[in-house]
Amino acid sequence: MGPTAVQTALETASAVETARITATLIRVTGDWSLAEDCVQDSFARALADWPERGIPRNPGAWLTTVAKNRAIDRMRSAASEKRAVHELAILTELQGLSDEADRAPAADDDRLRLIHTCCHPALPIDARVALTLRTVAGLTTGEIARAFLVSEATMSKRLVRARAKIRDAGIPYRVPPRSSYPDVRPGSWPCSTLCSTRDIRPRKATN
Amino acid sequence: MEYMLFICSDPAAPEYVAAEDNIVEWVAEMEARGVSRHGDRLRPVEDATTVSVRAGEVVVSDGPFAETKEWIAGYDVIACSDLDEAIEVASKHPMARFGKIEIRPVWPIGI
Repeated sequence: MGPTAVQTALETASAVETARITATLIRVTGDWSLAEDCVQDSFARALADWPERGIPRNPGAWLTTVAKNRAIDRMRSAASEKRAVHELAILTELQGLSDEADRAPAADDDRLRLIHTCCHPALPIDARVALTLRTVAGLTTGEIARAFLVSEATMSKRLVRARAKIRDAGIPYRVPPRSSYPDVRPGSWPCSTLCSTRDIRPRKATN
Repeated sequence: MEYMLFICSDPAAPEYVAAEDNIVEWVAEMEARGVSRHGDRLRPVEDATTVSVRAGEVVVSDGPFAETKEWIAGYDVIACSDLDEAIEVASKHPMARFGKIEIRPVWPIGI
């Protein structure tokens, strides 16, 4: 398998699948960093595996399986250490995740939930947009830093702080009910529009 | 999760109207829902005392440690499923209208 074909397949999968898989793993585990790490791991595995064995017929399902299994491994070691009932429950749900189902509308719901969590009013507005671009649109921290005219280190800190607040302040992972508060999520509309706009990711020059 | 609500005064808020104070209903609802842990009013800042220890000496001074126009008039510790529920609970408190409320997640020290 040529390195160019693998690279193209990975770039396509990265643009299309990253947010879906990350969103689903965040929903089930509630752990932002774990979800992102596992998705990163699945791409690293693909990079090593695909040139040898060929590009799988369904790259998205392949990546979902690897990311899910990685999450199961990590949850299992955490659960055996703490014997926490809550973590065992998450483990059961993870094991029940179907790779195909994740491509169904449920995964889109997960992405919608993700946008609403990223755009929660308890987060500063610039962090909302940055986090959505990172997690949902899959832009790199460097790309977002350039768009915000700040250094990559500054943007990286901003993203870390936003993820920490989501975890520590108990910002829920759900689409808020229409009635919950009037001006639901300033930031979520521009983000939704940005995310659905094609070619938001600057394409690498072919040569 | 547990959250602490700091019930604060706000000079920019509309004036207090006793007839619109629904604190009794709020307490009843939050107790019925199992949200309310404990909470109460606090005496005004004139009754505050600030303590510190410097070079082994106990230093006691009158008044609050920070001079601000807004001051903490009360507190509530609540148990909620997430921040959205805490926001909903805080938004129903009368002082959300006559003042403002800061929600802080409790960070258990685990001793």
